[in-house]
Amino acid sequence: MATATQPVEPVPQEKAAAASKSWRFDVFARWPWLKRLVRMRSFQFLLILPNLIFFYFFLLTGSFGTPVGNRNIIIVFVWILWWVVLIAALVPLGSRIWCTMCPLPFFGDWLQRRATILVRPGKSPGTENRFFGLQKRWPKKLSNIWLQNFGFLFLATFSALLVTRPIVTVILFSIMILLAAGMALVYRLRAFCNYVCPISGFLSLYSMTSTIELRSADKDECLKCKSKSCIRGSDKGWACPWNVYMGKLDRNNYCGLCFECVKSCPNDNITLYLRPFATSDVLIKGYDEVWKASIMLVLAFSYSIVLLSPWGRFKDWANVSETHNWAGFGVYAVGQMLLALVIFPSLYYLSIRLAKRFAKADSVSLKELFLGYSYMLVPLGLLAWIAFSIPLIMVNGSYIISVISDPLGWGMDLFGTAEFPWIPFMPEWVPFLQVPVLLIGLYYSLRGLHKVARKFFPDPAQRLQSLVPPTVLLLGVTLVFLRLFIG
Amino acid sequence: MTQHSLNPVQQTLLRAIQIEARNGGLYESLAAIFAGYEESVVAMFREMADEERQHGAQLGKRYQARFGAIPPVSGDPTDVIEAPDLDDAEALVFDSMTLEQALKCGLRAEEMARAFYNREAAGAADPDLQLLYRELGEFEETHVQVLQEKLADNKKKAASSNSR
Repeated sequence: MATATQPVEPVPQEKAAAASKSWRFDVFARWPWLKRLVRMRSFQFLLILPNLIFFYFFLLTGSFGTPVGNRNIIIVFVWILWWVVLIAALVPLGSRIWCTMCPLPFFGDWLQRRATILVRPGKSPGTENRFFGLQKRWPKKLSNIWLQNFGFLFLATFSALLVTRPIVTVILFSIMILLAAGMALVYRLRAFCNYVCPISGFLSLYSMTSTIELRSADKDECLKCKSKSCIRGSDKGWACPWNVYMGKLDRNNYCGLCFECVKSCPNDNITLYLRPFATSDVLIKGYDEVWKASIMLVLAFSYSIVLLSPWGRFKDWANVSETHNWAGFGVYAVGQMLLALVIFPSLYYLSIRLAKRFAKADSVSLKELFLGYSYMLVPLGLLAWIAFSIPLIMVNGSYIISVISDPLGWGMDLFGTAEFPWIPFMPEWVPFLQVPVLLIGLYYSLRGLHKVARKFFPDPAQRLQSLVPPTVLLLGVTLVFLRLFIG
Repeated sequence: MTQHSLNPVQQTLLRAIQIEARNGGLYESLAAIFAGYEESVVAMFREMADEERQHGAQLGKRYQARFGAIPPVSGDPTDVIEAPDLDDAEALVFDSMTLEQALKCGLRAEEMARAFYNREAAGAADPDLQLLYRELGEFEETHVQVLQEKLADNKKKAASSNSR
């Protein structure tokens, strides 16, 4: 008889995605011990616990230690060390691995699950687990990352305060913990992480570039799977806290790498892949994500001006708590917001209009092109942030050594390094590192742009014409950053 | 009597029955995923689950009429053929699932099944088997038409509510 083992034809979109897939390396298949590790029920808790202890300690030092930022461990460790490690290593190499170990939603998770390690089978709405709290649906109109966009922009506007006053950092993180816990009691799953946390917003965007991805090994297995335990949970694992269905997952953005699906999948079909940098996920789905890309790029630019440029006036404007120049701060804040929310998106929009006109692209809508091509802002944005962070660690890194011995700035000398002087580490090399990093960002942005363009325009001539305006914009942005870094 | 001792026509019909039963379960699961989100989507998936079971029962009657009692079959079918699934892994993240998408999800599964059976009918050498594949293709065709009608009906309703 004719057997039916042949799979059904994929839809064109899936075909295109499959054709454009780069190589992948199955990490769990190569190192099964890693899979056994993440399948341990205690895996995530054991990662969070040390961070929770450090975090608690930082909150204490921020509250009771010296108000001088560079002498207090909360400022030095959070805004120099953690930030640099996060943006330059964890995100590009580990996707949202920070979310795996983030202590902020810990109390919310505990209130919702009433368990730190064990899993509760049950019938809470939409799941096969028992959750506590009101379990309400997060408002549909807010089911996007706009709140995260505005939240991050708001915090960035007051960043001078945040990175110099320990108590401000304490207040911020305390609010975030309380908000995460409160929201976990009212709304389902990780509503705080998905829709509110400003850190999560940019992690979501930049995790697209990451060299790892958690995916189903065989999509047909998921298609046939009746339990859908990855999203509904089971007695082995919690329902996906991020509300993601692994059967069709094709980008990293909203996968918080909690690995619950690895535990709950009845078909042992979830695996971790290594993949090339910044060339696999190129799909931007909504305007909120485009604006996130714009905000992040503009903030990298704005921070570079305020903190790295020789123009002290901008630093004075941003640092309103010390200069009390409210008019200057107003110009800085409004200018930054206008640039991130209106001016740069308008420039990008213009480049897309021109791209459509140059390519005479009647079959592709302006919206499709606007969303699709916006991926070009992602690799350049990430690498611009990394380039910005290089002097942060090279110039200010020596503070880490001194605050370890005197975390509260009280004159202690725990490890004999309290008096370690502020010595910038090879500052003359900073531009020589920043420039190649930025150019790598440009390269990957152009590659990503080209990859998206291939989907829209099979004809090479038309594709090339469509690429000219956005490429000019990318080059312009790169030149502006180069001017800031080496000018 | 094992499934392998049956003739190809019996095996094919049994597999079609299994597929309908499995799809009933799949639709139930999809309905459960959206519980508390879009109630219209939940209701539609439940309705589709019921329909799949009815289809299974209809095929069961055909089997009984031709071959007598249906042999016990364990497990789910290994083939995909017709399996409804979400189009978007992030449908719940963005709370973006609509009734139209639910209908399209079902329609796509039925269209895949129709295409599969038609393709098999064209390639089958055994005339009995060819006839059965044709029948199954026609069977799926009626499901496709039902879903297309529902989709058109839903579009009309949406258009009239928008024009108010």
